[in-house]
Amino acid sequence: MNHLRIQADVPGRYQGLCNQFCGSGHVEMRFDVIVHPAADFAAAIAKPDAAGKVKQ
Amino acid sequence: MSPPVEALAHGSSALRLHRQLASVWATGPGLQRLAAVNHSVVGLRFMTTAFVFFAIGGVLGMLTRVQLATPMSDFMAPETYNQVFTMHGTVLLFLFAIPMIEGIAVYLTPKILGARDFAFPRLTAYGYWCYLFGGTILIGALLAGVAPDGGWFMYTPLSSNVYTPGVNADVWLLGVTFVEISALTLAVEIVVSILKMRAPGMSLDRMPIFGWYMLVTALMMVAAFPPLILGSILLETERAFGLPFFDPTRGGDPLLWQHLFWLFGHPDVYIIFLPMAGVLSTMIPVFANQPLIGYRAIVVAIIALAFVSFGIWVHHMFTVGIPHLALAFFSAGSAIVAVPTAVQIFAWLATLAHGRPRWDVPMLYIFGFFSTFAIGGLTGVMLAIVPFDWQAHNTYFVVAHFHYIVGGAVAFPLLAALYYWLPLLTGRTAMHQLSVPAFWLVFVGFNLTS
Repeated sequence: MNHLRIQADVPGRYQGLCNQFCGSGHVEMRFDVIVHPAADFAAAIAKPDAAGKVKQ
Repeated sequence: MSPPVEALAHGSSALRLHRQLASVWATGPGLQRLAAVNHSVVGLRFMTTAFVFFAIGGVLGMLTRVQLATPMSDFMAPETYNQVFTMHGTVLLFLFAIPMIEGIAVYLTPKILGARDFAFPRLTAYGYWCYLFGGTILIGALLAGVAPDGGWFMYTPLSSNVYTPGVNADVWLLGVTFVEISALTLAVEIVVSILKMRAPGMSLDRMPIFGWYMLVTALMMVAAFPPLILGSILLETERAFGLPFFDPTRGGDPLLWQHLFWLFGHPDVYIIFLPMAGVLSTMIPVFANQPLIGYRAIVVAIIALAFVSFGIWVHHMFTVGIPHLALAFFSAGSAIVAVPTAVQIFAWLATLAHGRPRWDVPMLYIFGFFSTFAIGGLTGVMLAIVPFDWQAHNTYFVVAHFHYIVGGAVAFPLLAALYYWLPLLTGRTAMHQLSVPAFWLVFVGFNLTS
């Protein structure tokens, strides 16, 4: 399927939005990218619920 | 002093011949109007109809702007908004810009060639009815609330029957295809007429420059419109009969649509620009009171433009993932296409600089053309550079770029041309004291909203 490569130099939470008109609901198509420090990455992947879930 | 007797006799026989000719060529009364084939009548109908679509497209653009003026506005439901902005682009590109330049070509070309009419007058009429039929399908769907809603570019897979189940996309494919067939018939008509119907002694290198512009444009139309007609037929057969042309799960490719669409869509930008450049090359010498500088350079430039414009369509697709060599090729082509365009711009500026420009109303619109088209063209060269395009792709920078291009390349020269030829079209001149504020309203309004 589609891969999206994102380069982030500083850890943190980044916002993204759909760039290609994709029908009704396009406006709400947003996503968050969470960037972890390299040292914490393995731990974060191991616990996706705690780290990966987008806060509402 | 009375005229000699021979001249009177000659004059009356000329009048008789003129009346005989008129009775053959004129449009009959009542229902026979529907059978009109004369290029002046059909050309006027094209222009009038295109002007109605211009107004509809403009209102749709205003509705789009109102919705976007405030965040989370409740002005339109999302489904309505998608139809409105899709139809804004579709109407102005397919039902206004292309048919309007065709109308001007149909009206002016035989007159400029010194021909009585086009080579195939009934084909002209056929083209008009095809256009009206396709446009009526689209506007009817808009009134019925089932207008196309997948963007004016109709990208797959959004426009497939999986993601756009209703008739909305079918309306686009059918309506636009009729308009395209109309354009193709007129292109054939214009090419044949320019090559075969010129007045005796008018060799190609002595043809008024507008004739060259129309010859090159019509040849481009013959090559550029079939890809979109083909793409529309493929997409319609996929939607109606389940054929897999654009479906990656069954061996199709959604990018095929983008290639076919832009293989039409990019040359189309020059197809609508070149006739307007033709009217600019016709009007500027009049208002500069100075013959056009660089006739031969302009002819070479428009032929070069025609060829290069077919090799740059992928610059609409820099972010879809294509090989580096292709990126380099299409990026270079997109920058090079600025050169033949600039040759014409500098020829016009030189003509103005050597003459004494008269600031009549068309000249104001020509000034509007220069200022907007320069912004549109320079932002275009920026977008031709791949790393910049990756940042700006699908942003409002691109939206502003192409509005400055079509506003500069079509709207301003068109309004200049309509003011310039208004006495020929209607027998009346425009009211100067109203026309000047109208220009500034258009100019300021365009720059504020596009």
